[in-house]
Parts: sequence; structure tokens; C-alpha cells
Amino acid sequence: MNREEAEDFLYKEARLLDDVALKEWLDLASEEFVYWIPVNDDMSDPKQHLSIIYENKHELSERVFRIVDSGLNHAQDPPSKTTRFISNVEVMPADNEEEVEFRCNLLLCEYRPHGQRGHALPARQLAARCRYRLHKQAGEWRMTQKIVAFLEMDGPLDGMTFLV
Amino acid sequence: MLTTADIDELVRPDLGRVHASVYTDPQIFHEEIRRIFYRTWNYVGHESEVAEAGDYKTAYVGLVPVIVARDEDRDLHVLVNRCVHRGPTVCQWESGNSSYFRCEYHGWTYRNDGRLVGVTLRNGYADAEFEGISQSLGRVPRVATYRGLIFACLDPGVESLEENLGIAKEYLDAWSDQSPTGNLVVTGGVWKRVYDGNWKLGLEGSAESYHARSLHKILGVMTEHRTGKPFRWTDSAQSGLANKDAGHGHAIIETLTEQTRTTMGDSDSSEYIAALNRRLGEERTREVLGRAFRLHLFPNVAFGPEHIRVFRPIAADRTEVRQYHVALPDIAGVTEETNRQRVRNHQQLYGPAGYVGEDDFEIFSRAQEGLGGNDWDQLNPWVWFSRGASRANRGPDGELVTEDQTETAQRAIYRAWVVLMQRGVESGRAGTPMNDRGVPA
Repeated sequence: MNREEAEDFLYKEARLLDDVALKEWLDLASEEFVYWIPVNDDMSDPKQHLSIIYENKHELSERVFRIVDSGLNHAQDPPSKTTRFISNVEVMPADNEEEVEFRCNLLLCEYRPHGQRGHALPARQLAARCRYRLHKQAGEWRMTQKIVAFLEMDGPLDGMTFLV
Repeated sequence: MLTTADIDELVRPDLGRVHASVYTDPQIFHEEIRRIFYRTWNYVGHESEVAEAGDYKTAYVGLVPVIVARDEDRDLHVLVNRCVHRGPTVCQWESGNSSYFRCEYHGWTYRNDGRLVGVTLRNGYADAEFEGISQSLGRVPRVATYRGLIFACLDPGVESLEENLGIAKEYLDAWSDQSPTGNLVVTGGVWKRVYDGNWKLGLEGSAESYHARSLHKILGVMTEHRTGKPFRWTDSAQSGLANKDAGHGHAIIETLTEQTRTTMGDSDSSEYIAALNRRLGEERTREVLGRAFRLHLFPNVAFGPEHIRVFRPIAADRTEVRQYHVALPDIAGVTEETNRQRVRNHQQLYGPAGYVGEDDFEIFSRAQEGLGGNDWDQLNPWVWFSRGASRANRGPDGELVTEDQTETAQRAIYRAWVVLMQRGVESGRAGTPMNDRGVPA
């Protein structure tokens, strides 16, 4: 996979998340997928240290159920709108053509419109450094790992009950 | 100045009525800081966070930034993080290890027991110019620990910590006895969150089972989604469990909704439970693991099985919460799997993407918004905590007890609130006059 193909993948993923097309987003994940959003420290061991998210595909499908189907995601009532900007894409050298690892930077802008307090609450901008691992299954690239390390991971963080 | 009559009009803990301005008025907030946070015990940390000589962590007592430091003789000090010269903080970090704290403005330097040991160009001061300058960082006069929990109080005349904790002690015992050594460890991460709401909203929500079935209905729905079987919330009468006013503002709820943790989720807990049996015996082990409870200690801390939640008031409508993960000590072959499960349990519920915690913060800011219009005097100004108020019984230690899912824990907060706010009126205003040479009296 070259940088242009990595960018195509990242732009498509960003569009699905911004469109809240979360079931289609799940289709980008392989069955072995692990999604990690560290808190405090991205060198921590997520089995012994808290994480904002450290989940496999099944657990993420439950999260999608909560966001899309449950009607009980109160901290997302009204729901956030998001716009993602991807940059600084670097593809790592790979041993074979069936696997790839790349990095990028993410600027995630989030806003909850239509709220009574909305006029007083500005959109928030969250910057992150991301790492992806993909492998090719039946001719399609699927994520096996995604890590989103927020600049403010050790600071006070507001809710992320939409899907980052 | 809030008078005795004002306080009696604002809060009626016996009936469970609180005037909305108690959440919104900046003057009441300021008086709470002086009369409550500066007159009673505040949680400032856990001994495992400052385990070694030279270890320190920073914290707050009300609006006062403090350093919790262990000196070279292993004595604990709670020091005001403020240079005695011109006021900057002398320690900038959340935690660390250091023998000295230095103010980088003019280079004044303090030992980690607080003593001022270095003044830049000291010989350039005439003696009279140096008279009255404190020779130590400000020192919080009362520091005490219970089961590794460190508390500090700015009022030298406060009752002992153990007297203050009362029957809450036996719950802190059960909480600490989750560890095979009897000592839990604060490690594994901390959630940090600032919400747009009064500090009492967070405390009121921490030991309450009544809101779970509506605000946290998702937990039942997810259980149904996972198991395919219907989930039933128990009602107050069926649960057979209790909500207790433990005195001094502290409260406990014993609840069924979290009892699944006695199976420690899907992990193999047999080594862990065997280790508990060896230390505690089987009966006490069953009690420790089977007695699910939530506890808050007035005014600034609450406990769950895997966390310590600390509240820091910033303004009438702004509060910081730090929720620390609590692990079992690392004992090879005994605690790894249980600790993994504790991390999973904790982060599934809390943190920015948790299934429970963010809905709580959302509600606190909605409450602050809703209560903001209370200057309109045609509006019924009362917030209601009356659930169970007419049905309270007395427990064996004289504590008020009701059935589950009442507002007993919330009334407990306001009983202590009235006592401390009234006592503050009698004591008058704090102040430090100085003589005509500029030396504090």
C-alpha cells in the first residue's frame, strides 16, 4: 500500500464516521480488530491501565448498537456533528504486500447543534496522532488495529460517547 | 453575609428541600468554601501514591493548592503550594519525587517537609525586612489517614478523623479488604473531567441508586442485548437493601445492581478468592465480595469498587472530578487476572466513552442550566430530596436508614451542610491581622 492508497482509506473512514455510518465503518474492521484510545499515557499497558476505549470488534458492535439503536445515549442528546481532517500520512515499510502499518494526524472538530445552550458552547477541536494496521482479506484492506492518541489524553476530557 | 436565618430558610434537610440558589449563588459558594471545605476533613490522596521517601502529589483543599509530601523520615506533610515570598506555586507536577521544592521566580527553596532552607541573596535583607516572613511553606494543621486514605483539615480544632468517619469506617474496611494484603493501590490511570455544574450535584449523584433505572437504563438494555433475556430492575421494597445516612454528611447505598461483580466477570478469580480466604476467612471474604455498596464522604470524595472519585469545587457552576483507578497489589499468580477484570469493569462504565459516567455529567450540567433562572421569585424555588424522608428508621449505631432507592444519602449531605454553615456564622470571619512592624499577629 502506498501513501495515496492509505489516504484513500483514511478519507473513506473519516467520511463514514462523520456521516455516522457506523455499521459500514465496522465493515472496515477485520474480526481480529482492536481499537485503542489511551488515557493519560499511550505507553501504558491497556490490560492493567484504564483506556478511553480498548475494545474488539464485538464490543464495538455493542457500542454502535448503543449509539445508533438504543435511544439511550443521553450525553449525545442532541447528537454531535463531527468533521475530521487527516494529515501527515506516513506508510511504514512492510515485509509483505498483505499487511501495512501507517500513521497520520487527526484534527477532530465536534459540535452539538440544536441544544438550548448551544449558542454558548463553541465547537471543540481535538488533535490526535493515529496508528493503523491493516491486512488484506479477500482482496479488501481491513483494519486489525487502530490507535488514537489524543494530545490532551492526560487533561480534562469532555465526553466522547459519539464514535471517535 | 449569610445569617443563621438565611441558612435555615435555604435548606430543610428533614423535609428534603433545598433552595435552588444554593447551587447558583457565587456568594453562597464562597461561604461553602470557607465554612465547609476549610473546616472539615478533605480527602487529598492515598498512601500508595506517596509510598517512598521523597514522593509527592499535588491536590486541593477547597481552593487551596497543596502538596502531599513524604519526607526523608517518611513523615507525611500536607503543604500549601505557595511561595511565602510572593506567592507562586513551588511545585508544578501532578506527582513525582523530590527532596526540595523551589520557587523559580526568585529561587527561594524549601525542603520536602516544608522548611524554607534557601533564600537568594539572603544577606541583602536587613533584619527588620525579613521579620515576620514565614520560615516554612504553609502547613495544613491536621493530617490523618484511615486504611491508606489521606485526609487533611485546615481547622486545627476539628474532631478526629475516625470520629468524623463514624460508621463509614466499616465500609472503608470492607473496601480495603478487597485486597489480599488489606491494602489497595491507586495505580492504573485517572479520568479527569470538568463539568459545568455545582460541586454538590456530583456528590449527590455518587451514592444514589434511584437514578440508575432511568438515566442508566442502558445497562439493563445492554444486558438484554448481550444475553437475550429480559432484565428486571428491582424496586425499593423488593431489593431488601438499605440507604444510610452515616453522619457528618457521609452516606452509603447498598445495592443489588452491581452484585454481578462478586463473580468477577468472566475472569478466573479462584486464586484471588483463595488468597482473600487465607487472610480474612471464608465468612468475611463472602461479606467483602458480596456486599456491593457505594459510599460518599462529605465534602469531596466517593468510592466505588474500583475507583476513588475526588471533587474539586472551582466556582458555583464549575467542578473538576478526578476518578482514580484502584488496583489490587501485584501478587504473581494471584491478582493479574482480577486486576485485568477491574480495569475492564471500571472503563466500561466511566471515562469519556463510558456507558454511565458521561450521562451523569450531562445531567449535572442540565441541572445547573435548569436551576439558573431561580431569581424569578414566582417560580417554585425548591429542589426536592424528600423520597423516603418520612420513612427513615434508626440503625444499630443510631444512623438513619431507609429502603433502597431513596434520597437518604442526599439529605445526609444537607444535614452536614447546615451544621457546618451555621458553625461558620458563629466563628466569624477568618483573618490574619498584623502589628505596626508588619509582623502577623
